[in-house]
Amino acid sequence: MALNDAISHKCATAYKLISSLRDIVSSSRAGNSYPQWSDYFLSFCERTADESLKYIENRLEISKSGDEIECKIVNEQLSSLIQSWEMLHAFINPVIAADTLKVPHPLISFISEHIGSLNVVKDAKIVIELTPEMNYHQHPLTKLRKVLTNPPLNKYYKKEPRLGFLGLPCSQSKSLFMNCQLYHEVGHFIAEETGVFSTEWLDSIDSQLKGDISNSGWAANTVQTWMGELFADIIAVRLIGPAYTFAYIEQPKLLENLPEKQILTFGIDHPADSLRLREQLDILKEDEWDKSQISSLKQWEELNRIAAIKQSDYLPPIDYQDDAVMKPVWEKMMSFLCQKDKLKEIHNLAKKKTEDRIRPTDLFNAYGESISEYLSHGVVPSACRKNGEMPHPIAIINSAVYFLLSGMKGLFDIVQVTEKDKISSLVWLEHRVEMWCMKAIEDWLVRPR
Amino acid sequence: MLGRRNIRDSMGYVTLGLFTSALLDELLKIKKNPGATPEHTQVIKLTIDSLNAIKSPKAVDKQSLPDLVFQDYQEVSTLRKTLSSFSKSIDDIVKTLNDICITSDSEKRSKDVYDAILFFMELAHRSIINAECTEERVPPGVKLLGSK
Repeated sequence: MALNDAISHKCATAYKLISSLRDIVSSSRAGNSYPQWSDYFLSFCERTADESLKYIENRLEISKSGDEIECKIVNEQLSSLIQSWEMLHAFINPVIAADTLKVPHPLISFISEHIGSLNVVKDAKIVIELTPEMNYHQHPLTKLRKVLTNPPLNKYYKKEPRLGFLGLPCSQSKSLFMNCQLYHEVGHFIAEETGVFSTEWLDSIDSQLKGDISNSGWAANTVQTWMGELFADIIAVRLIGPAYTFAYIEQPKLLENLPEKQILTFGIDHPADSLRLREQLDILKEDEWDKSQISSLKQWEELNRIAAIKQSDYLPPIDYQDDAVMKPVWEKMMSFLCQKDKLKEIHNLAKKKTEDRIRPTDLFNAYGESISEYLSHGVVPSACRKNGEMPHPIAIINSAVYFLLSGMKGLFDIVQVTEKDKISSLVWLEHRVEMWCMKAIEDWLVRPR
Repeated sequence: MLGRRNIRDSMGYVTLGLFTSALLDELLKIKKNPGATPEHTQVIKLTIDSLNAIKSPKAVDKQSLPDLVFQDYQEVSTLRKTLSSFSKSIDDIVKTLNDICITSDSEKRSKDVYDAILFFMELAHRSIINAECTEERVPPGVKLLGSK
């Protein structure tokens, strides 16, 4: 095929892809309402699609009148444009799925405000996605933004806010408690945005592992991935407190009676749960949660038990536990990560990134008891004021978690539940508590300022 | 199709491809009018700053870090491989780009523009191919040189 024909063909392919995506976005926006920053992103995609379509038409003109070099350049430019839209494709669909009826809107708005108040990611905004998987995730925004800031996608992007793309499982679309796990994804977002783990640092890990492990590049990548997970956990606990840790413990895969071996086993992408919870507990103690009501929960006891497991009991990923060659390699990597100075470095990085946070313990101590009292009477806790101030969402969330995990004392007595022992009644009541707290968070968000 | 692979691992290459496309547009404009002394346009200046930052990441102003290109793991490795295939150094490319903007000799400018176009076309091509067949996985969190 002559180059000019190939270009015409590529132009048509690109045009079809982009105009189809634009139509999908337009019809979704017309038929649904979206959280503010999701709508903002979708609107940006619409406008950028229009710009890209004009760019394609312009490339076709250039190729018709240009020499061989110009045609070759146009050919590469069209390939890059198609690739960038293929990339946007992966962002657009999960955002379209997450309309306001399917996400915990007040919580998402609060996370956006909360994160945007940190100096390191000043004014960042959260775009929420729904995922079919039973996992929370963070889409790497930083590089997407670099894609978007390049021509021809950049016309509308130059002064845009930082957007963080966080995904939650579709089954958790209305939960307050379990969605506190989004704060872990916030940790990944902060790592990505602020370049916590630099290429130089990766090289340094590589050189430290070189003597012990022959494929040190692969090992350094894995260790750095584990470090990223610990960093995200620490960020989450420092920002939202035990609500994150208890949501983590309450994940279906990690319920109380799970096999001990699972807690001890490292994954290819994640450190062992025992190590992760131990590091979280360190932060919780540093923030003096052990002196609060929270420490009376049986989950706190369980957390302490898991965190006390010895490092020497940790196990390599399941596929390598009986592998005579690879098992010692994984063990070396695990020991490397668990060195005190390495863990301290991760803690220090996370603390530095969140040094201007509001300490969750202070808010819980100020409002916790009153919020529990309100919830036990079935009252939306925004009515509980201290010096005229509504309770802060961080206090509401942690108090709700305490109230739920401590058995919702008092509430069963005043709410008409026909069969108190039925799971469906319990789940219904828990859902009500979460909705009341969600309403209180919304009240806080729209308060006069 | 990018959808077959981990998007994260392709993104650095896609970014590089897009940026190089923009730079090639600038170079084409100069090629069409070699008699006029071109300005250090934003894209050319950003290219020069970014190339210089690879050589001395510590000297980079942290404020300008997010704007720079060629700072991601994949961008740098693709750039290095292209430099090697042309037997050129970063300094050679910076000099060519600077010369294009300052020389009053239009013949020299035409030659420099042609050389620069060939180099960045190859870089664009490599980034497009690499985006389709990602060579190196980047660990989550790794972002820029000198950004710890």
